[in-house]
Amino acid sequence: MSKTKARPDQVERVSPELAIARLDLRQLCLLAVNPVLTAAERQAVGAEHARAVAEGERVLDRYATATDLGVEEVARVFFGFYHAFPNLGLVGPFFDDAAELRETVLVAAYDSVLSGVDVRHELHARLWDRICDEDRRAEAVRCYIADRQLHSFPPSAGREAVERYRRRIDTLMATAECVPALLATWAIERHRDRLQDLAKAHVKDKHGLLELRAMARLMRMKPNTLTRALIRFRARLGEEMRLLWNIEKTDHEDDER
Amino acid sequence: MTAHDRTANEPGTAHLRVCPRPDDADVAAAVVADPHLDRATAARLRDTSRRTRPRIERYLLAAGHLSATGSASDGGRPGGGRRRSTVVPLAPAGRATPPVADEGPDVVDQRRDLTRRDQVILALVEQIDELHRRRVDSPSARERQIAAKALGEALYRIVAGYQEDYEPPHRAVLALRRADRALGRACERLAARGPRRQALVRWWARVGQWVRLLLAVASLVLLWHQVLVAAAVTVGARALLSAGLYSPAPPPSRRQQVLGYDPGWVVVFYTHAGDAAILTGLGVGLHMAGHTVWGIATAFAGLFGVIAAMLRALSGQHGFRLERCWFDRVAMTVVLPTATIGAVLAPPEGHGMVAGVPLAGGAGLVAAFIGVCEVGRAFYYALVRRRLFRRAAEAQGVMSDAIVAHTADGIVVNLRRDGTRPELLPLDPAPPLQAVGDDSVLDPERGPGSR
Repeated sequence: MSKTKARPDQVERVSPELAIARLDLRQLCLLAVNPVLTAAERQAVGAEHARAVAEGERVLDRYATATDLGVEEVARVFFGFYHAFPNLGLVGPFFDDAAELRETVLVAAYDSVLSGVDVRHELHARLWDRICDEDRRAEAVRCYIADRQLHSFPPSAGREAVERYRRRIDTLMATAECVPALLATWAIERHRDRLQDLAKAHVKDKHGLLELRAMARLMRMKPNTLTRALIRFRARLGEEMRLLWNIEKTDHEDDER
Repeated sequence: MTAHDRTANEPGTAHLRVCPRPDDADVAAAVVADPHLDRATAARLRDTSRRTRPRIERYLLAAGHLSATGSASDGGRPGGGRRRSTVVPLAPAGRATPPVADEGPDVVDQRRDLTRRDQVILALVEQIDELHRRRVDSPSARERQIAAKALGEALYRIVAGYQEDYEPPHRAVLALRRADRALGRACERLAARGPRRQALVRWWARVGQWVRLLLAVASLVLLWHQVLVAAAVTVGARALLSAGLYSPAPPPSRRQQVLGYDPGWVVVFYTHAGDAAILTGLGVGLHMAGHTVWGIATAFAGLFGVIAAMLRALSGQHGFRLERCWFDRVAMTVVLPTATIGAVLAPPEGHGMVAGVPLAGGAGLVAAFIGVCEVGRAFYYALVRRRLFRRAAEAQGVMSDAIVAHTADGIVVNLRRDGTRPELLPLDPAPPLQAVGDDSVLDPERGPGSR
């Protein structure tokens, strides 16, 4: 079998939001939040913005499939896909709806343009701010316990047992260390494939996932410490479930159901 | 119906808000659709940024992404943002200012200052470790004493301000303990009745342990020489004095519980050594009456009783927090005079046999049974403490709010934060750690028969 080698000018075209990821995050931020900038701010970054527009149009012409969207709209789609969407499963319960998370990403991009801080750090700080809110944490935990992949209810569990378990999880979540551990659990169990896909894509190091590494720095912890906390938390969670419901394992029972 | 929907419909979860899932196509569409931004949305985003910026900047500063001078410290990542020095002119005047005046102080954010909280706990644990080191290793006796006081004070404050997590005992243990407490209340009511001269009670509290030991040794000598009547009088006088002049001891203070050391162990030793002496005398009497086996068993029962009592006292020194037991004291106070008087009235070589067991041997059986109970009690609480140790170690690893204080006496306190409270130890090095109180509470005068 003979392989045909593509000529350099015959580059495989991808979707516009993936193609525009070839730009720097700074340029993407400038494009995405240009309508949000005030007149003074827009004037100050005018040259940078013009260069970003030119670069974006060049990238779209060369690498992207046909699209009706302008370069700024494509940049906003990029942030929706690679910053808001992956984090939806992680911190979605902390937001009222998906649009709110998308706007948080745009606010982070706007702050990044003005402060010069990486938009990922800005977004992580905003997500951490949400997680630290105790009221939202109590709201979010109810969504987390509804997920069967994280922990499932045995068939014999009644309303009282579920309520008791929810209170227990509330207590666990009330500690600062458990929240990122729970989020990391969520990330590993729900986003394993997506993490691998993103690592292979052109947007490596540009996506906005709430990573353990980034989260550990925000908490001023070492990543290994956070990983150990995650392991301990997982063990504790399983032990709590067994103690509360007096069960050995739930896997086979769930399969039977 | 998806698995998530099924879970949401289960009992107890039906009312839960169904969270957005990234697998659902409609959620994905909601995230990436409509990339247009109208003016109202843009104004709202600007307003959100302006309101929340001071808080976000604090997080970025804590994480090291933003330096205190306002420049971004990106670490040189490829594709990262530019230095703030190039974008400083962009920031409007209001950006770097604190929140507007009508918002008031951000109390909620102060509560969220988890980093500071962790630092406080870490500093506290380090100071406690240092106090332990000085208390044990310092060449200066004065420094050892002050460190012990300061440590006791710090741990006392911890216990006073936090909830302690204890494992509830087994139901049968609870029932036995309840009965024992009822017996103790009855004894204390009896001790409070009747005309008693306080001077005599104070004298007995001071020298009672020696008097009881002397009476016990005298009983041993008298029993050895078969002077049974005098021995019965001596043993009876010992029991009557102990019961009549008993004064309720104050309950152990919190500080004493925390420090773990109980100076009352000397009284415990003298009391049980006296009991053992009387039992040995009874054993000698049984041997002389021809019941050598019962004599040896009775003497060894006394020795076993001393060992069991000291094992229990040792457990108490190691923070097992064994509650005071009343059954053993009451039983021994009744049994020993009964056995001695029984030996006078019904000698074992005559009619002093009940179902093949001499009366003095019965006292040995009771002493052995009490010793077995003491050993079992100590082991039961050792198992409970081991479980508590495990839970405390687990809490120490998982919960950042938990303080697990290990004292040199083996106490482990698994604590949970319980409301607002002052700082336990001064974190600044300038003011020295002050020990409050004195040692008087550590050495309460205990009444006779308190163990």
